[in-house]
Amino acid sequence: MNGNSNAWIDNAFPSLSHGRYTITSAPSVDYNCIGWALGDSAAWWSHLPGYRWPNVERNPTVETLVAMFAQMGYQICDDACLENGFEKVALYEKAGLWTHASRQLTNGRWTSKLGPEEDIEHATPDDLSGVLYGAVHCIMRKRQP
Amino acid sequence: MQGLVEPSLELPGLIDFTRICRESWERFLRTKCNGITEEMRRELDAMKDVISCLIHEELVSDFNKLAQQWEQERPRGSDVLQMIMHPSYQRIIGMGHDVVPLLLKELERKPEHWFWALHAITGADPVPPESQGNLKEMAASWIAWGKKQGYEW
Repeated sequence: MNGNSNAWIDNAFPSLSHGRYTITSAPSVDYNCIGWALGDSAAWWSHLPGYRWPNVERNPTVETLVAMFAQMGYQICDDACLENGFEKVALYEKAGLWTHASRQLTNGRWTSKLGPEEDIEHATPDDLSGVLYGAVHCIMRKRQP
Repeated sequence: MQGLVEPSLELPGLIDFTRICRESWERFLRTKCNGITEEMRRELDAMKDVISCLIHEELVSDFNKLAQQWEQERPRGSDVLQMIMHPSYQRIIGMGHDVVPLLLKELERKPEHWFWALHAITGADPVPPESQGNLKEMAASWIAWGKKQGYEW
């Protein structure tokens, strides 16, 4: 499924309105933003009991999410610019709790799975900052194999 | 009947409420009527069945309304933590053990994020590590757990 606009996305993310994003999948509860950022479109990742989570503490703080991505081979880096040989992710937080993760594509744009809803492609991590996801907490990168 | 039910600081569950009503009525009859005849006993049992049935219907109706409201109003695009904080989801958890069969029935109909509610109510965590995050397998684990525990839906 591809499309250029959806009313709920326009309302939830004011920075994304006016066609600044592309819908790249249908809604799905099979996976979420964290799984998608890690390249896993078959599981819902969460610190809550019963959900996929690696061997790090199960709590909602953004520090735990950073530790989880570090365990998956990512390191905090300076910016969201496209760097040859690296895959980058942006981690979001609101009031100290993690809310979202997005992943940089090889063309420099970013891809996000919006909870149980659609995947979208957008220009920058800050496009999703706002009431729903809070703000970007940090950018992390991992060397591509 | 006023004053027959012992006041309590905690709200009783619906089934407990039925039991309290029945016990209070029996106590009233024993006190005021010098015992309960067989006919009274049959009427009491019939009354208990009717009340239980009405209460169950109300429980199902309330649950369906709250579940529908949650699905429509939960924060879209947010993760499970924000979804389960929705007041309708919290009210379902507050309904206690009586809604466990209804949650399991919902999971059987469509895998959704009812796992936290089940965990919060029962304290169980039946999803094996290899199924964690896979909603269909998580649902299957909870359904199998529910059947093993004797829940019927």
